[in-house]
Amino acid sequence: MFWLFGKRFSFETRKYTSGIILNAGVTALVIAMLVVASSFLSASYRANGQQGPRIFSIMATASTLDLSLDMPRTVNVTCGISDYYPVEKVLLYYSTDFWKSRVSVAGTVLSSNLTGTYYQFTIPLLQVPETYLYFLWANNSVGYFSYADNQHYYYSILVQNENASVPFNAQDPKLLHVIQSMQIGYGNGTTTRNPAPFIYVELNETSPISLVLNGNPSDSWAFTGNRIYNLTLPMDLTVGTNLITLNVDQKRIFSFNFTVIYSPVPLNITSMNFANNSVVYNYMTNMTFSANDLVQAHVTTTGPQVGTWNSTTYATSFTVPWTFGQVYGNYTIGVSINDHYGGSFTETYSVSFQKSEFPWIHVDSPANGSTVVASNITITANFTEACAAVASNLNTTTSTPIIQNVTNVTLPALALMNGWNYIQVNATNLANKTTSVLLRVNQVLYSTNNGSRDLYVVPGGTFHLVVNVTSLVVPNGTLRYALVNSSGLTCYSVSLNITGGELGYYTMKASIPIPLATIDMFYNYTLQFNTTAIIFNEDGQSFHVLVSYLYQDTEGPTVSEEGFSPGVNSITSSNYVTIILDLNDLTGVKNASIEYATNPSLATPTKANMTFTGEPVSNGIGDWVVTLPPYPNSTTVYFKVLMYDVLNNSASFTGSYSVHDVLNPNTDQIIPGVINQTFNKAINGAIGTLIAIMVMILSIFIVIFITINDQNVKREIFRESDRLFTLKHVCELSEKSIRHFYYIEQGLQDLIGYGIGIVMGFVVLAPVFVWIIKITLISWTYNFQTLFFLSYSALGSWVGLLLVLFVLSGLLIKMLQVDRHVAKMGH
Amino acid sequence: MSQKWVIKLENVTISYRVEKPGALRPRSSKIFTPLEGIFLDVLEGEFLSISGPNGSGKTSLLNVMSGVKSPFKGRVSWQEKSFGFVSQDQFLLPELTIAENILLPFYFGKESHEQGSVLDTHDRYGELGQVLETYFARFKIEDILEKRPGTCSIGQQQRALLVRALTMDRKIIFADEPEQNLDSDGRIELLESFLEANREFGKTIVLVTQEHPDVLKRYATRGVKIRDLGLVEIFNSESAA
Repeated sequence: MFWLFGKRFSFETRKYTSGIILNAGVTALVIAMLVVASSFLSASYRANGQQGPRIFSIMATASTLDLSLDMPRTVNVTCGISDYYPVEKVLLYYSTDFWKSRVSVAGTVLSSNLTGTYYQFTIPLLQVPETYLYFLWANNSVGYFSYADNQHYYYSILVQNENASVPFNAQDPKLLHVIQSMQIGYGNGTTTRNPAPFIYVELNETSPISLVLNGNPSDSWAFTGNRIYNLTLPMDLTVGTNLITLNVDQKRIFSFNFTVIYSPVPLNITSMNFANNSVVYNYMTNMTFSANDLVQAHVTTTGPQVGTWNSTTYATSFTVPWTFGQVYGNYTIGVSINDHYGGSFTETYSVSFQKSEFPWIHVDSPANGSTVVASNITITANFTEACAAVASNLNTTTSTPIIQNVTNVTLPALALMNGWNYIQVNATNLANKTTSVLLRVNQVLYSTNNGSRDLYVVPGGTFHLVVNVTSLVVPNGTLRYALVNSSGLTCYSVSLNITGGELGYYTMKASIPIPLATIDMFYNYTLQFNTTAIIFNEDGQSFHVLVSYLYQDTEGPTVSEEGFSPGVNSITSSNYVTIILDLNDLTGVKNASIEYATNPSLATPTKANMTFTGEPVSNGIGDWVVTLPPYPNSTTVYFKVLMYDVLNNSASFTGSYSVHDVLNPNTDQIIPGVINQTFNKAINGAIGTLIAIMVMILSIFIVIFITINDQNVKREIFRESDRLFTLKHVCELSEKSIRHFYYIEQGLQDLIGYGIGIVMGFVVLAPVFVWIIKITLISWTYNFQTLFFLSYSALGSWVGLLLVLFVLSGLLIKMLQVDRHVAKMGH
Repeated sequence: MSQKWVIKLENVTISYRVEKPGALRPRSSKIFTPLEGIFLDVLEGEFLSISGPNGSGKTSLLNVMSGVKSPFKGRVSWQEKSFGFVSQDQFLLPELTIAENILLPFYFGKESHEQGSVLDTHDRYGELGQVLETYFARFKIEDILEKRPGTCSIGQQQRALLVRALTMDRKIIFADEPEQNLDSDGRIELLESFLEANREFGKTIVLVTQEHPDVLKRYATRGVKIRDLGLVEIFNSESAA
């Protein structure tokens, strides 16, 4: 019997080769679908566990602004934004009509730090009184967004009358939802001389309203059918405090009280330029008067020059052209005003317009052309008459405050800059005549110790000049020296920035033209640099130094910068990690090697050489790189880099990185939870649908597979009918023997077909399929793929178990089919 | 001379179930009865031809006569069950050579016990060698012994099956339309081979065929034809003589 097995086995290879191909494909497809399904589950999980940018530290200029003359016309709102993903858009939405409409304002970046990026938004204040509601909105590059709306109450800015005991539009949410805007007269609690103020009411929807004045309702004050009312009170206010009640009939009746003080006080006027019986030295172009109510004005001027002026509108202030010309003398100016309600008032001003001379200035200190070792200077001067005095540094464009009406003055300290400063002192008299004096002052920033200069030379054509700074007049500045060798042929300028005002030794560096080819001769070598050099500072002080020094590099290389590719927070178990170190050394880096392991003590490490990628290659200064293999998820890789310079001085550098297949838990600024329910449902719906489709495809595939397998077995057995006939009727084998023969044969062939096929599918085809899916997914979804956890290896264990069950089930099905058909054919 | 019967059919009715195919299992079936109330004696040493149109039940009758299938009704008796088969189907295993196919029953089955020892003890074909070589030469298959069936002609394969039956020394050889896929020369050659097996080696031949009776008369000793669910004798050389 086994002889026949052997014959058939080598003859009918198509049975198990087709099995190998079929099962390899089936296995790979099943695994690929499982991997994709797993990744979708992962995406779903992560979609539920992660949201848009974090919005924090929301601050506005003020939550309540009082109506006043200096009230700002804009309000700035700032907030911080942070996210793991790049933030694409940050907006502020505000509304002045309780979200019937809204306006978006784009943020401008103020600053960034480790906490996040801070944005500023500017809301224009368009109308008062007004309530501004706003919330902040941000989205990132992977499609998530979030917003901060103060728990659905919205952030708000309330503009109100500063004298109102009860805010005009108090933020009663129910009331605010009804009355959107209301202006009455000059505002709640204000005083008016107008007995019939104008009333403006804007509601959120069409509603009846009624007004009650001082507790007296009037039918004629009930209005319906509008949302916006422009009303004039049909009855005059009474003198004193008037209580006006606005009733809004909308679902329930809201009553809203405000007061207006009607005070028909006498008119009054004030000159903004001169007092009565005053002397005016200045030639003015205009005279300005201010009234205590809206008035019309009539101005007459008598004296050496005569003129009249009439206003055409009612205003609280008015400006009258100056009518005196340059004619000096005594003038009388009459101002008559009258208001809307018949009130009038007249005021007369006597003004003497006199000629003025230019004042004289004498600067007591500092002396012109003096040298100052100080950060600022105090100027003392006296004048021939009372003047407004000011000093300005023309170099720094800074000025002292103006000191008014003085004949001698010590001006506040004026900041100086290093070097020569040109200071202009101005004195302006009451006739607006100005005299200027220009001073020149030289500021020296520092002084140094004569005996504390030192000079040494390092390879690469750089000498170092060490200076002991003994005193500084400013915290920050620049020391400048010139270095001239004794031959007098070469001059090198040297400079050094000093910061922080610390005294002590500073090293200045300058390049000297020493060819690189001769650098090596400086190691352990005494360099004679023409015996001496002269060093002098900008203050003219000069010093001789000996330029004859021994240089020796005794330090190993140092790491200027450490980098990883991919980024240290983005390393997954599928990544090869490239470590990039920027190495530096005075004499050059010879080589660098790395030892790495997954234990902090670096026991039994793996070693590798690092490769220099910079230019020039000769001195090894620049990036050294090495690529480490992938490590499993949650592994921390520790490494130690050994570096040698060209003089064999060594140094080491240690570091580590962690592998995270999911979002790095060490990454801060991540908030769990999806904020937008619609978005959440959309994602889950899409992912759920995809999973359902995949399950259906898998189910249909299994049914088709079983059906095809059954048909194949049936077809195969029918094809085998001649063989069965031969075995039974020619060879006269028993039915039992024939059945055993087929069990063994089918089992052997299927084992080969399933076994090798599944192994090939698992090891070769499935990773290829997963790779193709992964590449496709990445190319199709841009950054969104970071949500998907497409890991083939992580599925290995339970996929292996499923495959074993799959194989056993397949074999069982096959045996049942063989049994059924063989039994049928055997008979 | 009256010959003794080797197979006797008494009032035999043949029926079988015809199934309509479905995706996973037959969807329906019906009973088909091609032959009814058949009485037939196959005599020792005769060359009996059974002819009839397609679907008339020739092969079913052959299967009942050879005991491969049981009759629906009636009784079939055999003097001795010693049958060889030559068929239009490929009763040769494709993975074996012609020689291995011929000797297959001797590797296992009843022959392996009875004659396996003689097969193993001598050179190539053992004690069967002389007999086999006679058959190989007589039926012109010595050139294809080491070939696989798939590389041989249909006529060669049929002759190999005939040689296997002769080698196993079977008394009755059933042939089910062996000439089916042969050309006219091949059919004549194959019929002559059966005639040779009948006359020279004394085998009883039961040949199911669609050959014309005029052709059959030259080889078969008796011919019957299936007509109207029964058998009609169309020639009998013994009675004619």
